[in-house]
Amino acid sequence: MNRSEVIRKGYSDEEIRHIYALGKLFLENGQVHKSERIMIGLTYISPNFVPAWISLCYIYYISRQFTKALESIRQAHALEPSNPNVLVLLVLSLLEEQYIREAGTFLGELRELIELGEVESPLIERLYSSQVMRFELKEMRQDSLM
Amino acid sequence: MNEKNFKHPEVSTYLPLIGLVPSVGMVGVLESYVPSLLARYESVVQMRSLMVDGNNAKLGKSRYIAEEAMLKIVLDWLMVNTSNIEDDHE
Repeated sequence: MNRSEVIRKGYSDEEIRHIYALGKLFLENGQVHKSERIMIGLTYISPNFVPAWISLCYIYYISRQFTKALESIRQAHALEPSNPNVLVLLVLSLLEEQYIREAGTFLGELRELIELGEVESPLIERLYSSQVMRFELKEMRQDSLM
Repeated sequence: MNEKNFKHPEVSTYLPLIGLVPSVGMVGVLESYVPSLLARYESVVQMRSLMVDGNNAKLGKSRYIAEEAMLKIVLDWLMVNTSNIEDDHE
């Protein structure tokens, strides 16, 4: 039995997913604080459950707590480094925190996934394009300050 | 019209980021988990109330506090009365 299995002892995978679904429902209904409490609880009882880390990143991003958003999405990225949703949120958070070069690296990884046809979501492609624009603008600003 | 009214927010603020949050699980079946959720809530409340402050206990206590808050929200949503459990451990 590995560490994560010991930690979530007592909760089945299904139970964790259904609790998460309630957290997402709260999020969709604008009850962000309740959703946050559920997602934080899930990250304690099942630290390898990526959807909870993604949701926490989203919650902190929309509430402009970008440092916490970045911390959350880094946890998700450590678990699923090729997840396009994770990569997009990682780039968004990195750009907000002014880690421009690092954001560029992950934009490159996302581009590769898109070119390989491994991204089916039009939303991801739109977000990728918009973040490339943000990245270029921020890079230009940074260069002009040097 | 004032120029600042045209100042654009960051591009990302226009986009439907909620679409990046995965959809898994079904809230409709949570009701069938009430007995186990309630038992776990009681256990967590008890464990949390028994823990004493100290560096070694800090992580464990944070975990119990987070788990308790999560379970309380779930049980409230399921309209399960938990007041007797909380009264027993106050």
